[in-house]
Amino acid sequence: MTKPARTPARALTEAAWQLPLLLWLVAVWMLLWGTFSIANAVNGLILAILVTRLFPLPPVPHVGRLHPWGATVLMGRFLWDLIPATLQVAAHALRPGPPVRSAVIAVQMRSPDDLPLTLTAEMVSLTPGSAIVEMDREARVLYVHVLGLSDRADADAVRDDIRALEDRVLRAVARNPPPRPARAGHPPLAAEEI
Amino acid sequence: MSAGGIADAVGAAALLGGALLSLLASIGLLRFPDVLSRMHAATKPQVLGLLLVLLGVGLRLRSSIDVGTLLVVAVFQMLTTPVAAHMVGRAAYRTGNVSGDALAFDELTDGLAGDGPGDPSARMR
Repeated sequence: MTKPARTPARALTEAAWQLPLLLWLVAVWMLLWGTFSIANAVNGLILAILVTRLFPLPPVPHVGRLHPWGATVLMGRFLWDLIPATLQVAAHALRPGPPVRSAVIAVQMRSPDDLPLTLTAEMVSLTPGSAIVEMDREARVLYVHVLGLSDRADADAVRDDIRALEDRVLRAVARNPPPRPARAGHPPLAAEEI
Repeated sequence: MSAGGIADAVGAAALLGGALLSLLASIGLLRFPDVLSRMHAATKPQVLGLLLVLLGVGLRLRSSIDVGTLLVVAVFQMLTTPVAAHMVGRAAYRTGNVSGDALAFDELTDGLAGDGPGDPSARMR
């Protein structure tokens, strides 16, 4: 991936992505103190700027755009999906008989960007019953450990679920989100397309 | 019943639900066969379980500043749990603590060997 030229517009975009981080740090500071006051806010802001200057995060290349509706769908669907997933892991824990078996499957992601890849990996790991054990950043492949998966025939359904999750992530944060119906076969997208 | 009474009742139910999920997690921790499966039990029911506990506490306390602090707890837990799980899984994998017995199939080893089919679409690039 070539590094994009640092134009004023891009610098502004990156600054705009830093702003929520600053506000977030200030909010955390005030919540930890437990009082909302001007003094707290000013102190928080000074600390937030200090922290982000002293420990700068690597820039996220190809930053996208937040789509409020896409983000709402993503979060709502994620919380909803937690319930059956939790019940399933609980069922595995309680079911008598031989120990549950699992599998590690490879899932090809479509997006070439780091942000959707990271978000998708986070959410896969947060969902009970699936966890990332390894990822190939170059090839955009997640290796997912799936509890209770013992048949290769069932693996494709899990893969489709994770790709559908990636699509929802893309509709929440990508610059040009993919259209609602997922494309057949999920071809990896070129950088320009996202 | 007053609104406060309803909130208390829902909060109590949420606390109980969260505690139950934590109990199920510890049963899973005992019963699952290998590191990776146990990691699911150790890290996951906490996601919904913790959210329920926090919801329960929030409904009992009902002050905006406390609810804000609870939100911070939830967000940090959701941000850090996957990282911890990933590091445990990765370490288990690399130190050979992933037994072939508990795994039905493993496309990562197939992929690392370089000759396994793995996911056909994973080889597209």
